Amino acid sequence: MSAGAPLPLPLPLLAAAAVAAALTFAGSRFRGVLAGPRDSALYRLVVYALGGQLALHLLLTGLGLAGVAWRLPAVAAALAAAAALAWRWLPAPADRTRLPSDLGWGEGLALGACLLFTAFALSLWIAIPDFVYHWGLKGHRFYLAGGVDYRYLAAPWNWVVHPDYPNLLPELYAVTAMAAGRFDEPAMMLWSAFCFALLLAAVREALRRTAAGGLVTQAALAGIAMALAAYGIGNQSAGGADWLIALALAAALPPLLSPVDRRGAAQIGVIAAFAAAAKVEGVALAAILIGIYAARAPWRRFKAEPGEAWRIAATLGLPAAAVILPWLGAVWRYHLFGAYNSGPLAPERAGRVLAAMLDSLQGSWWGFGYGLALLPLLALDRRLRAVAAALLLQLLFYLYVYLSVPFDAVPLVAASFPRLVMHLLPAALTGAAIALERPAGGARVPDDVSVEKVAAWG
Amino acid sequence: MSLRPSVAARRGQADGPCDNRRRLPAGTKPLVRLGLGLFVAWAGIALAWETGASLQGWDTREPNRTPFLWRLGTAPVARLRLCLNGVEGFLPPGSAAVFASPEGDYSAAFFRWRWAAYLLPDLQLSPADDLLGWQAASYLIAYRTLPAPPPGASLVLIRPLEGGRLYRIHHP
Repeated sequence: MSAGAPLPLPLPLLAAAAVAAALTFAGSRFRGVLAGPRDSALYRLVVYALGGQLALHLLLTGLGLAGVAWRLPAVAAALAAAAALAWRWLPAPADRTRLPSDLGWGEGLALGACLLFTAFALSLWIAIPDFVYHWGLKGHRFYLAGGVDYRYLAAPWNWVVHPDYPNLLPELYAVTAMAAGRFDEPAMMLWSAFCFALLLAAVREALRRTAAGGLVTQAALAGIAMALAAYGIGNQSAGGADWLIALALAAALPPLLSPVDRRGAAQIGVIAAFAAAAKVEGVALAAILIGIYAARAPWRRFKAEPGEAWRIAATLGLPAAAVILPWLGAVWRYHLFGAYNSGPLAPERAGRVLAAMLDSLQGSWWGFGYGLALLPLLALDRRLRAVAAALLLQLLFYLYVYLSVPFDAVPLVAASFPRLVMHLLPAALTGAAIALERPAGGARVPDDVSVEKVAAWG
Repeated sequence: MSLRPSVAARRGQADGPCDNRRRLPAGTKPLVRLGLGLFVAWAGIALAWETGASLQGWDTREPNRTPFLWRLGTAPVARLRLCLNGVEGFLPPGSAAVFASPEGDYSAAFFRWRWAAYLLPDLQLSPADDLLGWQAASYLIAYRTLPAPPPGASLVLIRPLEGGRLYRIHHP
């Protein structure tokens, strides 16, 4: 991998790392709302990172609506102001926790897999073609234009760049380019590696929180990391937004596996909004996550406290609404929605589409993709029902898309389904690992936990 | 609010930061151990195989692959970049241009156009088979080909490029 390899220059890479760190730090200013005692330090980093990136997206959207060009001083000042306001007005932060210092063998393997993926990503050899066709192109264009260039997106021939997609990833690329002073491809690849690392941290937290045994935790983490790295390296995945959706689903596992509480609602709210800002399928995922978490909440208990119910509903739904409404407005205003995206549902295609979905898994996932068949089984474990529901609904959404596109879906399935499996598989395999083992003593979750749920709201 | 212990606490899960290994179950079932071992081993084999294949792909990358299979850092992309270097910074930012290249297998012209658009992000680049693009464009970048302009329009050479030419389009 040496001769002719594009050597990553350290300055843009440092700039990308600095942007990621700054956004995570900005997200940590919301820790009084987003993190609680049961969240490990690594999971807090996950939530802070997602919160920071979401805050950046909202700020850039706001700057765009105000007609202010994206320039580094303006973006940095706006982000600092938002973080300062959060620091001043949000509740006191949760107690401090320490990063783990005693990594097990599985965590070591997972770290190694992530570093291997990062090395390949920085070489650009595993850059996803869509980085060239639209993600990277949009990021570079937005960087040069100082904002989302809707006139560019709306050009009739630019339907190929998916002009109707949400723009979080190109925005991250644009801000990284601003910090680096130029659009540097290896620096952009660092975002995929960052998402991979955060995903593994979220998986670890889910395993930890469900009291999975040491062997299960270590083996699951190592296996998931290596399977994901194998797919990522072998199938050119770096630089695409699929990492963001996979990260969102993995990050949603801990709150979905825990008793419902206000902090979990805030975490789901941020994660859902992050997903909605990342991709069109993330908008569906946002609705699914919010719906499932809301369905678990003991709303009847809130009759005596309607204000509390409204606060919870706002915590869950407002971040996603703040992302989705401006996006829909822009899509409508600039006529960005592609006519090829959706048509009437054609259930008669189901047989061919399902066969194509199965075919597409051959040769791309080393058999791990068939793990999605375990999803209905996950629902047998009471702890995992919310997770199973989220994954199944998201899978059904993909099936719906394949059954409704106004052209032959089979080539589309072959080209896209392995990537979509990447969204679901880390969370599905984590759920399967959790289902393998019950906590010590065989304790079971009581059938009716609503009283405890209410207690946990406080 | 009630002071009763939470569900998590009743299930033996600590609410606070905790070390997972302090509350291990009595033992993992042998079948589960076997399954986990196979899972990790298979994932390791997959990763090793894909790593090797990717390294081999890098070492044996072909210089003249169809544009559908181009990757960043490969020779065909470098050649196209060399050609477009003569355009980058020469045309005013935001200019509309048509990009033309020879047809070929696997929609070669289409994918070359996508790569050209990526390499020239400050231009509004349309493909040569798009009539609206021709109408909107003031320039033509011809890479290893020379398409006929639409009826009534004419081309005036501005400068030669490495492997191509840059023209101004004169509309009627």
